[in-house]
Amino acid sequence: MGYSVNKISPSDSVFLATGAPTDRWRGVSCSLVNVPTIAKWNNGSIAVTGDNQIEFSVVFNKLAATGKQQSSFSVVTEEMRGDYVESFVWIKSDNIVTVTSQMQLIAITNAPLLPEETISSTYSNTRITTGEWTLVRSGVIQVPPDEHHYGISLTITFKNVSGVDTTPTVYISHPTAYSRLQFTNNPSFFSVYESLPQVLQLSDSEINAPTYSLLRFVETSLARRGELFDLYQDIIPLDVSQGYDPTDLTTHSALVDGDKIFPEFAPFIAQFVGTKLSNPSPSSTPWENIPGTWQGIDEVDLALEPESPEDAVEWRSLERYNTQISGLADFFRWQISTGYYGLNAGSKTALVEATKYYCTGTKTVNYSLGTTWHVDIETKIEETPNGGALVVGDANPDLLDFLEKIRPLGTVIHHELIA
Amino acid sequence: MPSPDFSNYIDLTIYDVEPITVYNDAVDYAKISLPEFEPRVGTVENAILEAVAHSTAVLANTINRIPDGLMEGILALMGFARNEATFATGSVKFTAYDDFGVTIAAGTVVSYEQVSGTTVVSWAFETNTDLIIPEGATEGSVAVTALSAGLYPELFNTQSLVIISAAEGVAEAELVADIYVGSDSETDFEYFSRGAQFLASLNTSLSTAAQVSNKIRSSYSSIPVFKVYDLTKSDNMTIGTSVVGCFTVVVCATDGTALSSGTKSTLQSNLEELCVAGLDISIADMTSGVATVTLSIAIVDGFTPANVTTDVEDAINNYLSFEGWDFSTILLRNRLIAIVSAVAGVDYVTELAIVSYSNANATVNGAGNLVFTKKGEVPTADITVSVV
Repeated sequence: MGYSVNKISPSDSVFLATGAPTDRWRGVSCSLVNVPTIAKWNNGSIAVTGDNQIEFSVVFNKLAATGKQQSSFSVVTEEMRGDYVESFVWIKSDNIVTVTSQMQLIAITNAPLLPEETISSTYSNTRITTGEWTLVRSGVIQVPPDEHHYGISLTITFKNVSGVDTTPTVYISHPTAYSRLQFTNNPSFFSVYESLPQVLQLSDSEINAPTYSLLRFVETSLARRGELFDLYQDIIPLDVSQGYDPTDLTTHSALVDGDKIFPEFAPFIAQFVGTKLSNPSPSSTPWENIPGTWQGIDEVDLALEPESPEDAVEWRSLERYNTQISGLADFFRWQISTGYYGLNAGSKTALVEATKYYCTGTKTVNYSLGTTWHVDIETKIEETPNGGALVVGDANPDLLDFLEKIRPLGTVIHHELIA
Repeated sequence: MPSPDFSNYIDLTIYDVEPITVYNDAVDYAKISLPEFEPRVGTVENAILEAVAHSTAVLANTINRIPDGLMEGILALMGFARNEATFATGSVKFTAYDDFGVTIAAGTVVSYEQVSGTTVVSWAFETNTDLIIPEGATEGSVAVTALSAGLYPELFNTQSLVIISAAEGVAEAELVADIYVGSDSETDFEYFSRGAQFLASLNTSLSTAAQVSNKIRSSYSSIPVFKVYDLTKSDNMTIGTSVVGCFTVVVCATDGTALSSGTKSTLQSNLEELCVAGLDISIADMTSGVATVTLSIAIVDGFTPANVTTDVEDAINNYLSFEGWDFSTILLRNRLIAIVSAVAGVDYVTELAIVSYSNANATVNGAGNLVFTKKGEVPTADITVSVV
C-alpha cells in the first residue's frame, strides 16, 4: 500500500522480537537490544546503551572490517537511478544527546570496495533534549546512474552532552529509507496535482525535510485510490484502437484474458467457460519463484561468492520468495483460456492439447482410435512426468487423472509410455 | 442440492476495502511518506483524509458489484431465469351456522395464526372462487391460495383457520387437506450457483449429426454437397444397418464429381478435432444412378406443350440431382407427381412410373416407388414425357 516504500526491509526495521536486533545492526561502544514495547507508533525499537563512553554509534548494514554492506538487502532498485534517497529514524533519549546521522550507498561487489563505490550523505546534527520521540533525518544521496546495485547503510552517532556522567539510553524506532520521487508513481496523483494552483506546486518544491510535503500529503490520501486505479488499468479490456496488442501481455486484461488473468480472479472467470479450476499444476515444484540454480541462489547468498562451496541462505531471505505452487497461475490461465475442462471438453483437440500441456520437451503425442469408444494415447517416457517409477509400455495414472475431466462420456482412454 | 456439489458459485470481490481501512492505511503510509504528520480530529488534513477514504471505498464497492452483475447479465442473455417464489395452496372447508344456504365470495380471506409469546404471525389465504353452500347443506369446500408468495409453514388437514373477511353466516373454516407450502425465491447464492452449474453443463464439441451438418454448411464452402450419416461406417453403407461409435460424411461437388482427397482429409481431421473424441469419422464419396421415369401429362389450354414438357423435365431433374436430392431412403412416385403437378401449364398427371434404376443401390418396389439400399446414393433421372 502506498508508492513510497521503505527500502529497509521489515526484518530490519521491526523490532517486536525480544533479544538482539538482526546482525545487520551493530553497535560501536554500545550494546543493542530490541524493545517491543517502546516505539514511536508501533513495531518496537532498538535500545542503545553506551559502554560508559561519551560517544557511541549504531551502524546498519555495513561490515566493520571491509566497509562493505552486510547483505544485498535494502538495495537501491533500478527505477531509483538518478533519484534521491532520503532516510530518517525516530530517536528518543532519557538524557540530553546530540545525534548525527549519515546514510551511505555502498556498491554490491565481490571485489574490494573502491572509494568511489561508497557514496555518503552529509551528516545531520540534531540535539535531543525533550525525552520525546524526535525525527532525525540523514542527508540525502543521489543514486548514481551507473550499473551498480547499492545497499543502504546508516550510521547514527550519539554524544552525551548532558554534562552528567551517566551513560544515556537511547531508542531507535522506524528506520526508514525511501526514494524521494517514488510517490509520483501513484496514477491518481497527477490528476490531482495538475489541478493544484501552480503557486502551491512551486512553493512545495522549495520545502525540504520532507520534500514536497503538500504533494506527499495528497499522495498519502490517494494511496489506496492509486491501487484501485492500477487495478482498473490492469483489468479493463482494450480493443486494438486503445492499444491492445495480442503479442503484448501488458495490454491484456487481468480479469478476462485467460493468458494474463490474476490467480485471485481465475475461479470466478472460469465459471464462464464451465470450469471449476483444478489444482495443482501437473508440473509443479514447491515454490513459485525460488531460484532454481546455484546462480540464482547466489543472488541471496550470504557469502556473495558465485561459486562458493559454502553457499548459504538465511531462512528469512527465503521467506521473501512466493510460496505459491510453481506454475499454478499458468495452469489456471491454461484452463480458462482453453476451456478444455469445461466448455470445450470432450474433443480430440482437448485430449491432445491437454496431453501436450502435461508433457515436456517436444510434447510428442500420438492419438489414435482403438476399438469402438476406445482412445489410445501414446507419449514419450522421457517427456511424461511420472516420478521415474514407470517404464515403457506402462500407462501413467497421473496423466489419465489429468485427462479425466476431458474424457467424453462412455469413452475409455488408454495411455502408453513409448520410448 | 445434489451431492457431491462441485459447482457452487464463486463470487469475486475485486477490491475489498472499507472507509476506515482506507483511512487507517493512509495514516499508516504517512509514517513513511510524511513521518511528522499526525492527523488530529478537526483538522483540515484529517477531514481530507476521511473524505477521500470514504469516496475511495464507495468507488471500490461500486467495482465489486460488477462481477455479479456480469454473471447475471450473461445468464439472462442465455435465457437462464431465477426460480421465483410460489404461492402456497390448499383447500378449505367452510361450515355455516345453519342450512339456509350461503355464498362465500371469491377472495374471502382465512388465516392461520402462529403465536409466539406476544407475537402473532398470520399466514393468510384467499378463496379462489365463489363457494355456494346450498340450502339444506351446512358445509362446502373451496380451493385457496396464499395471499403472498413464499414458503408457508406446513399446515395439515383439519387445521382450524381464522376467518378474516366478513362472511355472513359462516361459523368456521378448516383445512380439508395438507397444504402445498409454496416456496421462497431462490437467494442470489442459489441462483448464481445454479447459473454456474448451467454454464458448466454447456459444451462446444459437435455432438449431433445436425451440429456436424451445420458446421460443414457454415464453414466449408469447398464442400457444396454433403450428407451426414450417423451410426455409419464408410465400409458398410447399407441402409438399415448401424455401427455404433461411427459417423460418415458423404460428399461431392455440385455436378457429382468426387472432391479432392486433400479437401476430404482436411474435413476429416477438422471434424475429428471438433467432435467428441472416440468417434470413428469417415468421409466417403457420393454414388449415383439413373432412375428411368416415364409420365404422361395433360396441359392447360394456352400453354405450349414443348415448353411445358421441358419445364416438367427440369422440375424432376432439379429434384433428382446432387443439389436437389433430399437423401430420402425412398423416392415416392407420388412425390414426383406432386412436383410435376406444380409446374405451370400442367393440368394433371395421367400416368407416372419409375421404371427402373441403373444400379443395384436402389430398386423399384411393387408400389412403384424407388427404394434405396445404400446411404449416400443420389438419383438422377432419364425422363420420358408424353402429352395427352
